[in-house]
Amino acid sequence: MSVSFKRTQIGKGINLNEIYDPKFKPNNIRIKFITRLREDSVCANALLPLLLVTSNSEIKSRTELSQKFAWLYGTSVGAVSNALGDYQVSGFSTSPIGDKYTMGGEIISTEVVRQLLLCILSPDLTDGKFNENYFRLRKQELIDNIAASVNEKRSYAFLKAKADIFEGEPAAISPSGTLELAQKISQEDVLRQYKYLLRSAAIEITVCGGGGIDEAVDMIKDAFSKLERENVEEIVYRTNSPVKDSVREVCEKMSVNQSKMFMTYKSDYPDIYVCKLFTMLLGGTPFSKLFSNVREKLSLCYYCSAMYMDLKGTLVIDSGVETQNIQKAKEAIELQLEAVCRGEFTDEELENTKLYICGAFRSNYDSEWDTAGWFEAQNTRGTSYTPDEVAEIIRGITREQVIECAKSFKADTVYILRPEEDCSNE
Amino acid sequence: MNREIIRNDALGEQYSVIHHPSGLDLLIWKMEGFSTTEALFATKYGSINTRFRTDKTGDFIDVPEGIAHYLEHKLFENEDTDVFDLYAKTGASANAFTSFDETAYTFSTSDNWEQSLEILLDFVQKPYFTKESVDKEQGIIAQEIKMYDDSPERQCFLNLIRAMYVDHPVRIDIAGTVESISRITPELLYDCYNTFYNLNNMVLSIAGNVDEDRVIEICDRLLKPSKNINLETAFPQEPEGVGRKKITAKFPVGVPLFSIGFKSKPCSGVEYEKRGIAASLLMQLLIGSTSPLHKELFDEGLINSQFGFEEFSGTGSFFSCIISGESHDPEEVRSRLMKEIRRVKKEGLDRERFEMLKRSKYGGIIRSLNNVENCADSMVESYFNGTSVFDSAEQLAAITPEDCMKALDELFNEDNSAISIVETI
Repeated sequence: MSVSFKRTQIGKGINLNEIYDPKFKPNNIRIKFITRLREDSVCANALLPLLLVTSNSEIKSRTELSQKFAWLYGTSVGAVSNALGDYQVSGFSTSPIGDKYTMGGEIISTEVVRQLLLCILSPDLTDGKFNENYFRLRKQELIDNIAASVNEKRSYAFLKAKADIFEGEPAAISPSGTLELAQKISQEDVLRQYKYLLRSAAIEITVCGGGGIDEAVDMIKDAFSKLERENVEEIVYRTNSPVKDSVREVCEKMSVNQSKMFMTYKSDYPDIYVCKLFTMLLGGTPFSKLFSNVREKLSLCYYCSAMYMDLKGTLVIDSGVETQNIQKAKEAIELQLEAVCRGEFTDEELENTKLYICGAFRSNYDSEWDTAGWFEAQNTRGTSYTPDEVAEIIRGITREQVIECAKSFKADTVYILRPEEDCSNE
Repeated sequence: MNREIIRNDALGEQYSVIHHPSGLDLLIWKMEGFSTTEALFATKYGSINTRFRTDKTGDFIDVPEGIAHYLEHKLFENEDTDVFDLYAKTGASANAFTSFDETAYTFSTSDNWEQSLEILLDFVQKPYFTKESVDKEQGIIAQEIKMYDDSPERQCFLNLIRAMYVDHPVRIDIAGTVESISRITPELLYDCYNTFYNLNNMVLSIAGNVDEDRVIEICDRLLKPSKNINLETAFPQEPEGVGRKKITAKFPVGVPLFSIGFKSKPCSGVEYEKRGIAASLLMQLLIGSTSPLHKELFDEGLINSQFGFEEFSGTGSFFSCIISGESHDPEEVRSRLMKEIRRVKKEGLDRERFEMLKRSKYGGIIRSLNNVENCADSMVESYFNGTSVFDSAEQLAAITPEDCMKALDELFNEDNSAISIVETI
């Protein structure tokens, strides 16, 4: 692969990751502010990206800013707000096409970056307040988004489940906040948090694509290296969640046809790649234990899969189940997990799983978006492995390691969202 | 076997179309520097194809709704093994999908693409349906239908289609209903398979890290020649107007959802490409984020960022423009949109913004050509329409404001519009 990766510290707690591969036509530029998830700042952090991409000190109208980006070959700036373990990520992402692909050979990268930097560093402020109308609208939008989280039942159930799975930890907090918190948010809260982000948040900047935009990258370096920084948050991405003394079972009711069940297990097993391999073997592929047995052979779920949250040391088994099958599905899932603990999987199953994961990792090379995401994830682990290097690690894992890893996971929480009836009535 | 090169010099891209003697056309796009291979083995057969005839059937026959999707599920089971177990040995990620007018079997891999291609060609040509396995699948598909029933966005969209289309089978959910799938038998599955999985009705599309000669060699070895059976599909005569102007449902949603649709006549070929470009530009001009109407609606809090639009279409079969979002007052959004359409019809469109949006759309095309999966998908889509992947870029370069004004009357006729609303329980 002709991909090149460079990570440079350009300010106190500010890192620039540059990844170039000439086959890419666009360049993905991401600027992210990372802070610990806290109830008192979660809504301001969620609102700020939405507000800042609306206008800036030079273009004070949302429509005119949209038009500006439309002229720049449909480049848009997206607002980013999500959780990363115990941390909240608030940021921006844009993907201008490479300058050499414009119709008349015009340079657009510098103007895209100039506008992006204006949005982030020179916002639309008057008398120390954000544009009042946009503040009101974006605040309402945040409230609407929180209210609308109920629309997609699987993600809604997971959001609710996380509050129980990580009770007492920052990761329990939804990265959008709650309706109550969002309704209370004021201009002052948002401005205070804006200043805090520039001063003290960890800042990760990633430029990933075909390259050839040195001048635009220099503009980013120059702008961020001038920030006055103090009390920068120290980020420890991986904080394993402690396992509960006894398994917590939570059942919530809603007007739904299909029940959603999340079974979680926790472990301090140190090697995340062994954990990932074990998770994929259990429920991460179409030939995994869970898919082939619980869904295909027993027809107990429409979907049944496993994922590993490496920053929290938590295994999540996610299933869509008919209500009358909840108990059977739960037992069938437990049986599959126990089977892996007893080493009841063939060498062929293990090798096929390795092959599948390695192929999936290598597919990251083919999208500037995925490549950027890959190296961002590497940063959270303090490494800078390429997909090929991780594939090599995966290939070296033994079945004994997988068994040892599987045994280390302890049941923690079972969360069920089910139709409106008695939760005990199965 | 003859080979055509489809090329666009301005974009610097090309792919090959190979007419294989088996009856199948092969679409091959080698993308330098990419490590993934994406393949689709697709048939022009989707949920709307419930009525058909061939040389063998004589008269038209009708089959249960949801059977194309059911067939897709069942084809993954061979007589002796599960297809996923075969793919497991190659490291490929395999999948399939059924849309309103297409079914495709796919794989994506960065290793062993030749073995994966062999598996793909083999299993899709080797159906095996028994009563037992067909009955067993009903449980899984019924669960899938129930899962979709829990999605208010999907129900809002499907209700709109049901309101707009009176008789056309596009109004039926792709998966069918729990009742309709209960009527599916192995015999019916074989009938549909033998009709629509004829290689003359299919295409193989493969993009990314691939070698054309090796693809042909594998196809020579594995494709079973198909005789043309003169397949004809039929649809009920669909009236021009909509069935209902408004449809509402209630769900536990945070903010009410809406979808506003404008039904127009179906078309195909180059006309379909032109219409698609015009529809996309017009929706941007009327209500996109750079439009005065969008500003008005956003500033008044009538819409938020959960807002979008799409052309919902199948070549030669159906075409409509759909605008969707969240709003506390969907009726007001509809009323303002209709007013804006009338204004633009009277006063004409903003020519400067038209040029701006053409440029923006060109940027979108450049981005889409940087994606292996998208290139493989686009080859199939344009093939079934009888055009090439690059036709849309050529139509975009050629389209004028006058073309868009002409299309406005056909595409945004208020009489042929409907609204679907999902209210909060």
